[in-house]
Formats: sequence, structure tokens, C-alpha cells
Amino acid sequence: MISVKNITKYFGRHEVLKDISLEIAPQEVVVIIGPSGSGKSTFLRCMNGLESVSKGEIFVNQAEITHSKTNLSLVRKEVGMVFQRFNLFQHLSVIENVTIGQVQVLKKSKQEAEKRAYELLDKVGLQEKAKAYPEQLSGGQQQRVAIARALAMNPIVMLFDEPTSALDPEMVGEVLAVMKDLAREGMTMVVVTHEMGFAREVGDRVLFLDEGRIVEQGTPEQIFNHPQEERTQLFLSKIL
Amino acid sequence: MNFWPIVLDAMPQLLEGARLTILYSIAAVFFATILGLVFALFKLSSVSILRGIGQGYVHIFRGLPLLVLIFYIYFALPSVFPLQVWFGNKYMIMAGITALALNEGAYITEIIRAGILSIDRGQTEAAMSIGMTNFQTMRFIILPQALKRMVPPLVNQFIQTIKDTSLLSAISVAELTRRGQMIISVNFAGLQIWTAIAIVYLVIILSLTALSSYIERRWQVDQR
Amino acid sequence: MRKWSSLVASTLVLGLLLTGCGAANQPSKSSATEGSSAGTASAQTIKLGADVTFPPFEQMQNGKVTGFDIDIITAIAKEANLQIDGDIKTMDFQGLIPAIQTGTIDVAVAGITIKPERAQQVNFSKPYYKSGISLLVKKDSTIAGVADLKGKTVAVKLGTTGDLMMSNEQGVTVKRFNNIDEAYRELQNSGADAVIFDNPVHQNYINTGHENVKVVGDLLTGEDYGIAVTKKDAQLVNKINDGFDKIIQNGEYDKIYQKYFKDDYGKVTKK
Repeated sequence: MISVKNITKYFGRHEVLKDISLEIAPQEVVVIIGPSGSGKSTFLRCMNGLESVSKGEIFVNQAEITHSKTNLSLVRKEVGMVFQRFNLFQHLSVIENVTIGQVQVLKKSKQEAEKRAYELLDKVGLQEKAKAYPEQLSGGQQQRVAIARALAMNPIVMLFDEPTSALDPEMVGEVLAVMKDLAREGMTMVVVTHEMGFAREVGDRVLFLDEGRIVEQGTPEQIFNHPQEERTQLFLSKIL
Repeated sequence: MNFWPIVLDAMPQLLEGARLTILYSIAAVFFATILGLVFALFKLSSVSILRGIGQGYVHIFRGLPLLVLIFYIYFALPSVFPLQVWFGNKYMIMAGITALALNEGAYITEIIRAGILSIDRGQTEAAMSIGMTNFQTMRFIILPQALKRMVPPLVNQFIQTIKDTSLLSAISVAELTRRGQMIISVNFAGLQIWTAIAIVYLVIILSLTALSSYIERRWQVDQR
Repeated sequence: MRKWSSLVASTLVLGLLLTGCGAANQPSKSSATEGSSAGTASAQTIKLGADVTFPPFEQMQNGKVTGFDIDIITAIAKEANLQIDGDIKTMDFQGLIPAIQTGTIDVAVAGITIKPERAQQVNFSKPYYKSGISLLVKKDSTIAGVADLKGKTVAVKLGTTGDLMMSNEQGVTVKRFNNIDEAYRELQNSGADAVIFDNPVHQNYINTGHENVKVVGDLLTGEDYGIAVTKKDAQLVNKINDGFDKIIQNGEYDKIYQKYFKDDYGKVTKK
């Protein structure tokens, strides 16, 4: 589904990703953990071309997104993304947030798009907020709308960039619940998170990233209960 | 002395001048906004040549005194191209509006650029992540949000344009200031007529200011 | 010193504006009135204003105001025991008479045509130059006189006799400029079909290398140029007229005239 081959990424002189390779299978849920500044968000953003890579190749469903001739817009509509700070379109209502991509990018009719949008809002439990504006919603509600907005494009894979980090603790649960549902339905997901409980429960594979390298990867059981690398052990001891 | 009778007597003529002042200002701001949008997008472009063109436009037309620009287009350019022959007496107004639009456009370029840059980068990323093209992102996500923030400075620029149209008197355009000068040249009542001119300008500009704050309140533009 | 005094003056003007313009109707004390009350023994000081875009009557040359009018008023001042105050104040033509009324200047020279409506605002000296306005067109133009101007565009200088005359003419488009050189440029750019202005200025324009234009028809008006003098000092115009008589008698007028003009149709001493 996603194939990352030896990518390296520089910010100026600073090497933030060092020769990373990764294969993600359909329906797999990959959780990326690591200390802040380890490059995990940058890595995620490379997978839909929001960040360019300095070296290496990334394929999404056989399309090479690191190739300069690839039309990134076409690839991106297949790759859903959920941001730490939600990034809902502030000037649009909830329902418009979920329909605009369907109408403008997928060229659906407004009616079709709204029908699909209401289904998705129902799924994230926010149908009654359809006419509200983002600033009228709580953080947790905004993030659930953002998930619906991404799902409206019928993506083949969903990327989550610390989706609960900006939320008040009491709202984390409602967002994680939606994500668990998605995983159970067989959505391919790559999740950058600090929620170790989620990683343990939902993850098929856990990657530990530090200083721009994949230090260790394996099943949640292997990583959380029997970490092999000293740096993984140090990180987990601080966080658990 | 008979102060107010002279003022009132001049009013119909001055109001006709005011009508033209407003008309030319609207035309100038309309074209200036188009120029401003194009050059703001140039300045924000990833193509360095376009950025250079945008930069150059702003530098040149913000750097030139407006009166010099007006004289240049009206008196100097026709020595190179027979513009007066092609357009006849319309050239006077065309030159005036062109000069105003080029000048105000340079300021509007910066207003639009600042408006676009004030929109959180996350909005662009979110739009792109659902597969929108650069154009769609600008058209449906960034500009609608930026516009609200641009309204107050754009109204200010419109007010500036109305004041700047008085410079068109120098190329014989019969706007408000010129009408006044024409009346003074006959009745020599400088104090009365300049007072009347000042009143008319103030009425126009204060109404615009009121309109602007009304729009601002209705849209609840966030102040930051 | 001068910088400081102009700074103080601007502050005063600003203060006047801010405290309300109630003073506008009060008669202002001009230096001319003070001068006359001081007696005739010492030279009276006058503030002189001119519009410098009217060659050969007034022009800027190397930063100095020169021209026929300037030489005449200087000669008159010498004979009439008047002292011209500092620099000549240059301003737009249409600003001169208002400036006299507000007391900014006492005397204005600018080839000002003596006219009844102007004479209500200011005093005029005896005529010192006979003028008239005429029509300047391109050499290949078919316009031969005012009758041919219907449907045409005429460039004038704002507020001049030509402006007033053309504004009453039906079917003529009038373009009004601040300076006469702009009206000439308009003619050269084909933005106007004719320029109506004082004949001597037209002649001067042709003589300074503009061979592609010509004056057509007769003089449209018989006009006399006079020196505009403030009404606030009723004696001042008499002093100027006395001085003027003296320079005609002693031949100074003719000498100055010949310095500026080849033909003599403008000469007031011509019999």
C-alpha cells in the first residue's frame, strides 16, 4: 500500500530523517512513537507529499509521490490526513467542511456529497452539529469532524499526526474511539501518537523513531514488553 | 460677508464633481484590486521570475510620486505612442484611472499579500491533504478567509484613492477639486469654495469610514 | 534663521487652523498698511507674488525669477521708493488674487489682464502691456478662427481669459491645465486641436524651436495687462502708477521692452 525506500530529509543542514525504509500492507495499523523532535511528524507528512524528501522514493498505491512529474493532488485525495491542530476550514460550517472536497475534488453533486457527509457525521457522532461552525465546537468535536472530512474522500490510507495531543484529557477518549472503529473496519492507518494504550490495543506494528532513524519495530507486545534496544527501553521507562 | 450663499451656490457643480470623483475612484480601485491580486500571487509564487516581477511592480509604483506617474502617462507616453489620436478625449480619463490603478494596485498588492499570509498554514495543508490543487486552495479556502481581514485596509485604500483623485485635476479631469478651482477662477471666493470642497470630501470619506466599521462589526473580523 | 522663522510660521498656521477659523473675516494687518502709516521718508516694503510659467513675462531662470514683468516692477519700485521684500513669492496664477486678499502678498505681476470682476477684488495699475489672446494650432490644421472650433477640443490655462471665453462657447470641449506648457504639450500630443492663450506667449513658444505650430486669426480680445495691487493700502496703487509714469518718461520702459520683444504691438508708449 505504502512503500518507503531509503528516504533522507534535510531541513537546511540538519538531517531530520536518515535513510528510512518501510512497507505498509493493506489494512495494517502502524503506530509511530518516539520523543519529540525525533522526526516522526515529518516522516508522516512525507507520505502525502506535504514535505518533500531530499533523497529516496515513496510509493503510494504504485504512484511515486517523490517523482517531480507526479500530480500530488491526485495522490493526496487517496491519502487522508488528520492534523494535531484539526485545521478545519474556519469559514465553512461542519457540513461544508465535509462536502467541499467531495464537490471540488471528486466532482460529486452537492446532494450526493451531503448525503455522504451526513453518513460520516453520524459515524463520528456529530450529525446534530452539521450547521455549526468550527469555532463553536470543542476540540474533540473538531477533531472528529476533521476525521469525517478526510474519510469523505474515500481514502485508501489514513495518516494521523498526533491527533489527540492538542486535546483536553476528557476529550481524548471520544477521538480514540472513532479511530478504533476505523481500524476495526479494516482501514489502513499510520498513526503518530503518544497514546500508548491505543498503540497496544489497536496497533498491528509499532515503530520507535529516534533522531531520524527507525530504532526498533515489532508488534506492540514485542516493543512494549520486550524492547531490545537501550534507547527504546529508556524512552518507554519515561513514558509508561 | 455672504459666506454660506456662495457655498450653497457652488454645491450643484461641486456635487457633479464629487460624482465623478467617486466614479473614477471606484474604477481605479476595481482595476487596482485585480492588479493587486495578480501581483500578490506573483509575490507569493514559488517561481522566482514571477516573484521578481511582483517585487518590481510594488517597488516602482509605490516609489513613484502619483503626480509624476499621472504626468508621465498623460503627457510623456503620447510622445512615443499616438495615444491621444487613438483614444481622443477619453484618453484623459483613461490615463488618470490607469495611473491611480497602478499606484493603488501596488499598495493593494501588499494588503492582499499580508491578508493571505495571515491565514494559518494549517488551512493550506488541510486543503492540499484532501487533494485540492493550488488554485482550488487559494480560491475556496485561503481567499475567502483572507478577504474578511483585508476589508478594513482595502476600505482605507479606497479612501486614499478618493483623496488621490484630486491630483487628476492637474490633467484637466473635471473632478471635485477641479470643479472648485474652476469656480474660484471666476468668483475668487477661495475661502468659501475651498471650505465647500473640504466639506464634500469629508462627507464622502466619513460615510465610507462608517460603512467600513459597520462591515467590520457585522463580519466580526478578528483583530490580531 | 530663515528655516526657524518658517517653522514658527507653520506652527502658527497650524494653531490657527486648530483653534477654529474665526479670524478669517477679520481684516488682517498687512505690512503695506504698517509701512504707509510709518511715513514716506523710509522705503515702504512690499511683498511681491508672481506666476513663473508665463514667459517672457515671468520665468524661472537658474533658480531666479526673471522676465519683462519683473524688470518693470523692479524699475517702478526704484522710482517709487518701494522695497521688494525678500524673495518673490511664486504661486499658481489662480492663487495670486486670493493671496492678495489674504495679505500673503501686496502686489502681483503675472501678465494679469485688467478686468472689471478682478478689479472688484484688487486695484489695478495703469496698463503696462497691450495684449490679446489668440489661437495656436498645428501648421497643418484647418482651423482658421474661433468659428471653426465647434466639435473641437481646446486646451487653456485654468482661470485665464481663454478659459472663461471658451467655457461660454457651445460645442467646444475645454481642457483646463495649471500651466501653459501642459496645454502646449496637449496640442503636440494631439489631445487638443488648439490652444487659446495670450498671443505674446504663443509667439515666444514658436520662437523657442516649435516650428510645427502657428497662430491663426486675429487677436480675440484687446487686453491690457496691469499690476494687481492690494486694496488694503489705497495709496499703494498710486505710488506704483507714479513710478510707472516716471519710467516711461525716462525711457526705462522702452529699454526693458526692447530687451524682451522684437515687435512693438504690446508697447503702451506706441502712438
